[in-house]
Amino acid sequence: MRILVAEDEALMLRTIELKLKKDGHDVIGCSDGKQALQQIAEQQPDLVITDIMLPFASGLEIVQEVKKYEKKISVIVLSAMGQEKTVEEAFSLGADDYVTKPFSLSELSIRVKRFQR
Amino acid sequence: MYRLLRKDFIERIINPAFLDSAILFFLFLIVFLVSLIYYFLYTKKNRHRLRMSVKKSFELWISKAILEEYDDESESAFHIPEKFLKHFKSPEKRAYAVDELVNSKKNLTGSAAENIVKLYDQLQFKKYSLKKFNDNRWYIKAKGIQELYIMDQADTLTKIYKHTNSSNEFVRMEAQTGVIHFSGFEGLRFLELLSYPMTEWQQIKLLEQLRSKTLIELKRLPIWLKSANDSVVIFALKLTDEFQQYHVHDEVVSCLKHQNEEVRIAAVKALKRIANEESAEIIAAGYVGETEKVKLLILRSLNMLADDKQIPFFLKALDESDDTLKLNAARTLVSTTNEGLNILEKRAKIQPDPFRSIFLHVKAESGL
Repeated sequence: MRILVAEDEALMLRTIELKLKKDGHDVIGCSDGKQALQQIAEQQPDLVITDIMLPFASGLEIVQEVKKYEKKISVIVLSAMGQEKTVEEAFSLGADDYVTKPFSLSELSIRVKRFQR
Repeated sequence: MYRLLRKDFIERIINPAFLDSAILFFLFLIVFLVSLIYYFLYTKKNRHRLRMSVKKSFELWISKAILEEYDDESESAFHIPEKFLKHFKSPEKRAYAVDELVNSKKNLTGSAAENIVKLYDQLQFKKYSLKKFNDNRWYIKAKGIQELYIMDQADTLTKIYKHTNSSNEFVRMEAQTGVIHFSGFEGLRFLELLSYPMTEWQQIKLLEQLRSKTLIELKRLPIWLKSANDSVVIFALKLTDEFQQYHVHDEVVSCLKHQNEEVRIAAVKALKRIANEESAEIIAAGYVGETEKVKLLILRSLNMLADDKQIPFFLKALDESDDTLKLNAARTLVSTTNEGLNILEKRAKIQPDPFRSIFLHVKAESGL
């Protein structure tokens, strides 16, 4: 599965990337929202994993854009504790699942597997 | 005299020897300034380049280490490349590494988080966090505390605990967060020593943090509810509300008479949450003499608690001079009592202004 990960914390991004690669996925890493939107348009991933707080374009904007034009792309939102309202907003925009930080990488792997066709 | 002096001065500055020296001086000055700027930018760029190179290689190595899985405990030591050991002698690179580890630890749980702590221990970063912790500058001390608790250095709990009543707000906040991180609800014992105020933001943060901890009966809550520090009383009332501590009903009732309005507001909210069959009567009894803000809160809180026994109270509340209070009294009267709407209709006939419009508004709202 081709997965795009948008996360602004460099080490987190690299760790998630590495974990998903280990699981056998093709991973594209982006450190800001603008880059993520550009890569989504160019690479057409099957799944997008995005943090909510991103520079240049937020995770919510990514969900909105993806669901506006590419409904078949699934989106998992990474949220922090206390961001329940934002998660609700993400779902209303079409997000398919969410993971609350702090999370375990195995949990993320399991969530990702659910989207494997 | 003045003209002579002026003439002498002009002659001196247009003297070729003087002009040559002045040009030379400014030339040197410009060269010096340009070199200084160049040196500054060069070192800055160099530092950035170095940081980026360490960043890249460090990130790759560390993310691999985070994902390592060990079946045997004896094999659990990470292989640390020699170049990193050299890098970590530099305070700047070490600070970068610690920051990255701390940020990742905040976001991860499970084996990845355990590996981050192991790595932090193995790289002996703890001694540098302790150094920060012992620094006199508040912002460094606060950072040191944060690093220690995020990296689960439980042996530093006693040291951190001592700073829960620090005179510096940020050190105090980090120390309180650290104590809760290690001890959960047990850590709240710092409330008994706290003489400085707890900000609203800190209260929100601690409540959020406590939600993920195992709840215990808060036996010390009656003490905190009687604290001389009003912010501690407010926080204790929020704890009562959030974690439904029914055993402090009487202490919460006492807080309804507190001189601080914020305490009384928190007490009404808490009492609404832990209410028993007497609570509505108690809350209503506190209405007279209250500020408008608390009165409004009481009327809204009674919406969940009142019954027909509170009809005399609502009748008095309808006589309030403030229209907002009148409207809220009418709303609660209608929603909590059987005869509420009839009472309001009768009142509207006797005193059409303003009760006619209040009656129609409440009737429309209630859908009756």
